[in-house]
Amino acid sequence: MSTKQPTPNPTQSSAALQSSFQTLLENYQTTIPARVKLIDSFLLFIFLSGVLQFAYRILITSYPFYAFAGGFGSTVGQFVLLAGLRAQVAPGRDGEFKQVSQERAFADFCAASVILHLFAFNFLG
Amino acid sequence: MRVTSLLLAPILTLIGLVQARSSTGDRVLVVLESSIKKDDYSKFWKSLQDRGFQLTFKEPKDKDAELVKFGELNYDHLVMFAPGAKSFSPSLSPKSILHAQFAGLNTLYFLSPDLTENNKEFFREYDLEFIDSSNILIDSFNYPINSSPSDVLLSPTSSLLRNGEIISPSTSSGGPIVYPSGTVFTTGENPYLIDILHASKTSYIGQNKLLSSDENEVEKSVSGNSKNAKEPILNGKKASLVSALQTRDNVRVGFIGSGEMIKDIWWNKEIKTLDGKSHKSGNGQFISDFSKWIFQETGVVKIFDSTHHREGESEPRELYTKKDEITYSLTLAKHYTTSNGTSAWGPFEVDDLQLEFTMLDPHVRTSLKQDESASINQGSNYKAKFIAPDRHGVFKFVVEYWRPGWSYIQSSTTASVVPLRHDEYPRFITGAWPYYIGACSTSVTFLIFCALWVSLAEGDKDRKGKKKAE
Repeated sequence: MSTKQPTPNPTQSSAALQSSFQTLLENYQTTIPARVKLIDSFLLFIFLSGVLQFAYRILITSYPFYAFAGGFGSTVGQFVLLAGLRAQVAPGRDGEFKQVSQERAFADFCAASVILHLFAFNFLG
Repeated sequence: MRVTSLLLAPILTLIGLVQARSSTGDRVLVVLESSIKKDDYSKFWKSLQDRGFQLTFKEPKDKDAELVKFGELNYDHLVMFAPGAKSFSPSLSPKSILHAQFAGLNTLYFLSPDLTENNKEFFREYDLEFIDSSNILIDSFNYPINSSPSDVLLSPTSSLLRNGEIISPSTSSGGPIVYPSGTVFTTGENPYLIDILHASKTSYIGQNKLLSSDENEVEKSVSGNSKNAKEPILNGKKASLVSALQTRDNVRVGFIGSGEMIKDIWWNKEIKTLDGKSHKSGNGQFISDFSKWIFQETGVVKIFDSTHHREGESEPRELYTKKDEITYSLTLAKHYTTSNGTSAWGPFEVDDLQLEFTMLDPHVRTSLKQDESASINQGSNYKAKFIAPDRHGVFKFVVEYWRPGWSYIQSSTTASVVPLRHDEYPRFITGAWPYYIGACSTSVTFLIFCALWVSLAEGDKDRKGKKKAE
């Protein structure tokens, strides 16, 4: 919205952007529970790991393709499973996952992750 | 034991003197037509006996001349000198001769213009087509001085096949070969036929009679019957006089268009050509060379041994893995006659041997190089090293060497090429470390995550409890 409106002073708009970003961070820090923060940091780590592996495959080598499939597959799978967990435990989930308790969601996540890692290590060769 | 061997040694050498130099055997059956006088050809028979052959003479109608008995050859070689014979005993019929040739009988046919229709029919089996019986080869420019033009003189340099195995160099540079009143044939497409001797450029095919100066008569005589006047005239290289055939089983068959070639009157005789020069005829040498080749004395090569192994091993394997380094080794030996007349096997040296590693198509074709360092008793050793193809299946090591004059060398050994076993794949490849680290770090982080999750839950509960308390 703000970009569409004529902005006479660019410093003013950048300051506005900065302030809104800060509000976002503050809101995140205060309103989001610690467990979801933990999930988010794990998601970020996995995302970076996946990007690095893919870059390595593109730029350097994909020679043992199974190893790539194992490594990259485990990051992608873990990311998907974590996203699922986050959807079930994050605030505002009650609309969709009212019947699922946090403990149940975490147990599902753990079981699926263990199976995923077994597959991934099999692929590593 | 030692004493007996000492006693036996001189006896064995004596036997060696009369032993055949042929690599297959020394029993020769000679089938002579009744009209042919054996004594006219005594020098030929003598030369065969000197070479260690045991000759047995029979007539075409002899019932006891069995070539094959109980599935075994009764004779190793056959000299068939019965061109005019109209009927044969069942054991010498063309069919049973062919049968015996499949079993390994080497045959030398002496032919003449009186070849019967039955015999001509039979020679079509070998892809030979003969001229009319009334015609013979005539050369009015080359014949011995007080003789008739039907005793054609052929120069070995221009008419004889140049092949060191079949014809020795001394024969190819020796005196002229007399081809007296012989028939002429054409060889067909059969790839196993080798032309040995062909007619000269000045010779022609016609009836042997004195021609008057009447041109019509000459014309008639040259082209045979007027009916056949349109038939192409055989001449030069197309007119074969002596040919040989070697089958895939290395059975050799020889065809000599004029049986009179081996007559005593032409055997190494001094002859005067029309220009007055005197030469020694090359018939004796030529027939000796040719019969040596037919009776498996020269040009015989045998595979002594063929083996293969993986690099760093010495025993052949049934299974090779893809991309293995395989060494194939082949030992070949050439038959030769020692100075005291025994047969022996010596080195065989060529530079164009090839090995094919085939599964339907050759996947690898490489040259076999002679290996001087190999320790072998006889013959020459050839080796080839190659990398097994990246393709699994049942493969064959195939060596085929087919050159005129030499035995047909064929060797085929089966071996399989298989992919790596599940535990043979390389592990911990350097290039794959990022992937290993990626997968491991995900797992480790997952464990840390679980631990933190559980510990945070308590904190949450506490907070909730506090909130409730507040």
